[in-house]
Amino acid sequence: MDELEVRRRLLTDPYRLSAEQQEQLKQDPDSQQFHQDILQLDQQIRQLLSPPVPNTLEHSLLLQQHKYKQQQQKRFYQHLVALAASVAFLAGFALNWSFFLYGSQSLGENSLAHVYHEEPYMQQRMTALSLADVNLKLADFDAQLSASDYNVVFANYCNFRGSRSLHLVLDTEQGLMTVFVVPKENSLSFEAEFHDDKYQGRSIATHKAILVMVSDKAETLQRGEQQVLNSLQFKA
Amino acid sequence: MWWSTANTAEKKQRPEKEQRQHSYMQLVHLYHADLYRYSCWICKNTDIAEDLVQDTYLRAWKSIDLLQNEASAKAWLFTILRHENARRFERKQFQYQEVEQDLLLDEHQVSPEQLYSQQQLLKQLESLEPEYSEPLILQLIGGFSGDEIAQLLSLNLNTVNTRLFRARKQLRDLLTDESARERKNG
Repeated sequence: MDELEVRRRLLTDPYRLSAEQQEQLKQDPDSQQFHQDILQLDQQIRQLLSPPVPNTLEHSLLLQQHKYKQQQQKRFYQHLVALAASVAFLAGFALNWSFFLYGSQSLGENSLAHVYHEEPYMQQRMTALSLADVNLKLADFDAQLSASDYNVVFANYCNFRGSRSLHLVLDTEQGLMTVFVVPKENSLSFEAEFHDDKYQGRSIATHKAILVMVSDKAETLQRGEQQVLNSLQFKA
Repeated sequence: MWWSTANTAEKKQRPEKEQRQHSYMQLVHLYHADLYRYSCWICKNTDIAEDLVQDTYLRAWKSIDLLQNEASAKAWLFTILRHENARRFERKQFQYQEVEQDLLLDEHQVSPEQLYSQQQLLKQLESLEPEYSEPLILQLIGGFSGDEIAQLLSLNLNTVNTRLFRARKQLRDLLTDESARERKNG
């Protein structure tokens, strides 16, 4: 190491000396002096650039972080509350919606709703359907209608809250009577008897399906029931 | 029991939180003075310097999980401070050059002669090109090694070493010129 290199290294970093540099310093008083000069100048600069640190700085740094943390926590809970409110609102909305969609819960209410729905069209449909047509539809329920003393004037599939059912309208001697053939597996609660201001109805559970009969006259219902039970057979 | 599992989960979580809080307090305690000094140098204004240190520590707290190594914490804080300072200039283009320079001086127990020579030294220091003075200030105030300075300034080690060498050399030359001139005048 020549002298120039020694000085260059000391000027670059006088604080982290290699073993080689330390060895060299020990042997050369001039270099030692040079090193000391550098350190002294550094010390002067350091003093120059050491304005008094405000006493409150450390404290205020800790305080600011504390405040920030609290703010974050508060914001977290605010978000939580907002989220909970949204969930509650949606739940309420969904509940309302489902009540609106599936307002009628029991078999009777559902049947009456269907009857009222078809009521306006009944007057125009007084032509009898052929027994073969009706039996084709009844076949889905493993049922068969034999010749009887009433006519079927309407036969169509309908939806009993998700269960595919058959909606029949019979023209009996006593008047019109509606019969629903509902599968046993359905989501409605069974009601043996039901009525409202205009109609009354009865449900009979057979081994294959539930028969719901609705009519506006008690007499029609009573006689019709017997007629239906006599003529409608379920396959075993 | 149902509460015992919840309890242990909480216990596991708490030391981590406490650990974070603890290391933040350590960072504040150990380095706030050096950061403040460095901040004063780059802002030339004690009020702004203090704000900058506040911003730096807030940013540090937000990303304290990124700090993996306690040994590199100081360099990490200095890097944040440099970024925050750059952001300050992005936000608003104020000229702080007008601010009195001798705010930086420690005026406690200084004789007029000393004050004069200190002002001279400061003048020389500021007459250096920033690319030279910057590594030197980092070495003096931050106490960083050549490698750390290289990383802080995104330079390679050789460049940093060259600049450190030139900074000291120029400063010494300037000061000898000054004293020579004074001797002649005197």
